[in-house]
Amino acid sequence: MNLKSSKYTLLIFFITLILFLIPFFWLKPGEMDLGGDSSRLYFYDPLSMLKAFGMYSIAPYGTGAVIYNQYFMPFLLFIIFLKSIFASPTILIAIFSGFKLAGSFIFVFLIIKELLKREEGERFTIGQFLAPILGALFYTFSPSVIENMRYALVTHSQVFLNPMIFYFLLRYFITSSFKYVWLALLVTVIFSTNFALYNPPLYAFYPLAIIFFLFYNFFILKKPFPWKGLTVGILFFLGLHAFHLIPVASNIFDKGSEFNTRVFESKAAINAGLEYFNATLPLGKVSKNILLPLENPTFTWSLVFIPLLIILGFLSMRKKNKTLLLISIFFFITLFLGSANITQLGVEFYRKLFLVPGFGMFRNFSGQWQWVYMFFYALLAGVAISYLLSKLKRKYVYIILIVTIGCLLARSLIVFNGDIVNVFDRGSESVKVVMRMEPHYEQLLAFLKKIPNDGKIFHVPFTDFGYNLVGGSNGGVYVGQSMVSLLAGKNDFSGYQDIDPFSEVFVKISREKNYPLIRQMMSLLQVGYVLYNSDSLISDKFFPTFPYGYTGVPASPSAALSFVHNISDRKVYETGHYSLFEVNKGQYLPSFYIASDLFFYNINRKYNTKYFKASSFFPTNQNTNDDPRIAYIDRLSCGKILSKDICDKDNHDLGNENIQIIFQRINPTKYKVEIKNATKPFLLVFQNAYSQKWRLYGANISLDVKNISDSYFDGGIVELMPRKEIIDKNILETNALKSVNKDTHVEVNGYANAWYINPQNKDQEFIVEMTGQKIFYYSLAVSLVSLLIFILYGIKLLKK
Amino acid sequence: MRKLLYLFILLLILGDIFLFAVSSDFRILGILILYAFFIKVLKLKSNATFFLSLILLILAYVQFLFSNPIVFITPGVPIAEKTAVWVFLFMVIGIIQKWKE
Repeated sequence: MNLKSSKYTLLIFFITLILFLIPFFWLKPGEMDLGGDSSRLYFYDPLSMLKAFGMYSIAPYGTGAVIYNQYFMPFLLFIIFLKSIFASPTILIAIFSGFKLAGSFIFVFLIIKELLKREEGERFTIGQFLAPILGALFYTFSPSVIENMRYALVTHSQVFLNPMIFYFLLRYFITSSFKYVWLALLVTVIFSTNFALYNPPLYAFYPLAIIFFLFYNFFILKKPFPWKGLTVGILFFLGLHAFHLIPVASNIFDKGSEFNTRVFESKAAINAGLEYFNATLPLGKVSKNILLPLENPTFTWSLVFIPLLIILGFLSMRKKNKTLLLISIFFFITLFLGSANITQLGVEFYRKLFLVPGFGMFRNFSGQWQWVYMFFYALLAGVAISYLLSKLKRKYVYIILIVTIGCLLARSLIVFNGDIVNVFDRGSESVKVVMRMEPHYEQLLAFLKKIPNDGKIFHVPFTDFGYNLVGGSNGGVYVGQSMVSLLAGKNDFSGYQDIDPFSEVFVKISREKNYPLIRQMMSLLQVGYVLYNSDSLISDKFFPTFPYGYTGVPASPSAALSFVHNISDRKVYETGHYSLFEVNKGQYLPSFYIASDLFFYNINRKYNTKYFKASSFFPTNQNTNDDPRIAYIDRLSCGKILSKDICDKDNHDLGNENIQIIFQRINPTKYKVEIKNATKPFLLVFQNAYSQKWRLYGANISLDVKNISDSYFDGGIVELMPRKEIIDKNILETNALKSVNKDTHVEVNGYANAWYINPQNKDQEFIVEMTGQKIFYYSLAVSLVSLLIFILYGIKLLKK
Repeated sequence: MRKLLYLFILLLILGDIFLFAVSSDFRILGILILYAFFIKVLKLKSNATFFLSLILLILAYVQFLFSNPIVFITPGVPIAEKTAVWVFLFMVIGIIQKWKE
């Protein structure tokens, strides 16, 4: 049989096509499966998600922490492009699921075939022809690929990206043709979400893949290592991905940033990575990793076939096969990493790995290593079984393959009947995750996008986590990240995790039904609206165990409405199940305000964690004034801006009631602020999560005060209509300006920014900007230049 | 002689699996060192090691079939776990032997 056999090629093409088409039968037209921890709202409205989530270095939810999501940009642009062709989110979801199944199969198949070809030459037996198919199907229908399809994280694309890039690099090592590196780089740009700097799957797969190639090149190909080509490839990679790599890397020494925490947690008093590892260690099971049972216990008896055939493959190996032995080494390393529980010595060694900076990202070891493990397992299966089959008569080969592949497919029935995604929501036994978007909810999102002020939105019902629930028109319910923030771009609080540092405080006061304190807390979190969802489908009746119960906020429609009435003022919008209530205007604190009264407190170490932090000052030091323009400052920060005598008091009246503020939002990372009538020192509070990257620049700006969005406290605070520019036209304007009051930039209210300003003039103007966004702009320029060179280089390669 | 040795090693492993509730590195290392010694002295081939792995895999599989599936997603230790660790260890030894042969 010749490798170029048209029948063989046709068979591979046919299997790939079938796998690609299967997901098109999972969902009915209009249906979507969007929920989960990272959600897949980009399939529904990628453009809105790009504007709200992918462009700025600020979280569009909660208190607006500094976070770099720009790695989403090329991926979202790619989906926008696909959506312009296919329009339907259902089709987009099917295309991506098809990529996962077909891509997994074809690239694992090509890798195994290539590895065998190096070892055996062009002459293959029938068994060696069919073993790569078996290995590729084994990978495609493994739990890592199919069971993670539901609630799929954006990084789940690695199931086909890992084999694809591995294949391109393998071809490069074999042929020395740079076009394969170029193709691999192109794929990394399109699927940029999988190449973010703090993305554990990136570190789980690629370092091992590179080490594999080093050994493969040295022991099997016996060629000089292609340093030159790989260096060019790495430089291109760094240039193309500069727009998200540099901003995150610049954060490495920024204490409190997500990246810094992840890298240096091994040096912290409590090694959170190690703690998590110790807690989840009993979940690491070698037996499970070898046999790979699915949740659905069908055809369990067939699980032994593949490992059995692998060992028989080793037994049938007459001469030493370096490729197989090399793959085996990587298989065992990844089995160890994914199981952890291999002898006590092994566990102790694993624990020591958590002392390596950054290794804490693998705390969820069985989850993070599963894909790379499965990849090497499939290669091992394909190569080892080919040796076994090459020793058998043709009829036995067919019997083995038919039985093994038959069982593999039979136990993966959920892939064929659509039950792979048509599952019940977590916490519910009657509500499906697959939903059709409800027209009223779309109207609501459109309304929210038009709200001109920065008022944050508080959701009722309120969940115990960070999830938001939205009922669909087909009886399904979306459970995932809030669409209000990710699509409408309005910062919101949908659950316990969003309202840090007040999370535990809120649980306490909501259980006590202490509405005055809840309203006061909402002031300090800049809550302007309460969004009430009366849909009984999302209530605790249908979700009795999850995600409600802990916070004390009612989750049944009538009790929830009563709660809403107690914390808000009046209804401003209603459509279908959704009502938007405005809070009392006298209670609402906009993005900027001047604190009239300061309350001092000592940080209680017991509460110095993310969700407990506000317990140090709230509600212990209650504000008894009617004016909500107050600020809570810990005494340590107070020492930076005020004298010890003042800080030792309980509170201090700054008496700045006459100062007027006018501000305008340029984009989520930049504001312009005018201060009028400042005759004595004042504290300017900015209600966004504290970061040293927020800077105050003294500037000469002229705000158009005719363009008023809203005014508060009898004109004391004026909010202008926000600019509607997607990209700031004056991105470099603060370069020539001096950052002022850097030393008096403190954290107030447990999370917000504040600057203590000693005025030089009665009227002052400032630009408040997040400098991390500027780093992104510079990095983006590097990426665009790199992209241009990359494309030109690709054209040159094509011409060759 | 060799067959008896294999049987002896297998019995030691079965003893470790069935007679002790808790896994011990002393027993595991003891058996592995003893087996490595036999390999060195009697020039045992990798195929014999793979054959032992095969027996252990089948045992792990049978144990797996009789396990409650819930034990694989909870912190409990399935009865197949100790056997699976032995499969891992013997496969690793087999690979090292094969590389050296």
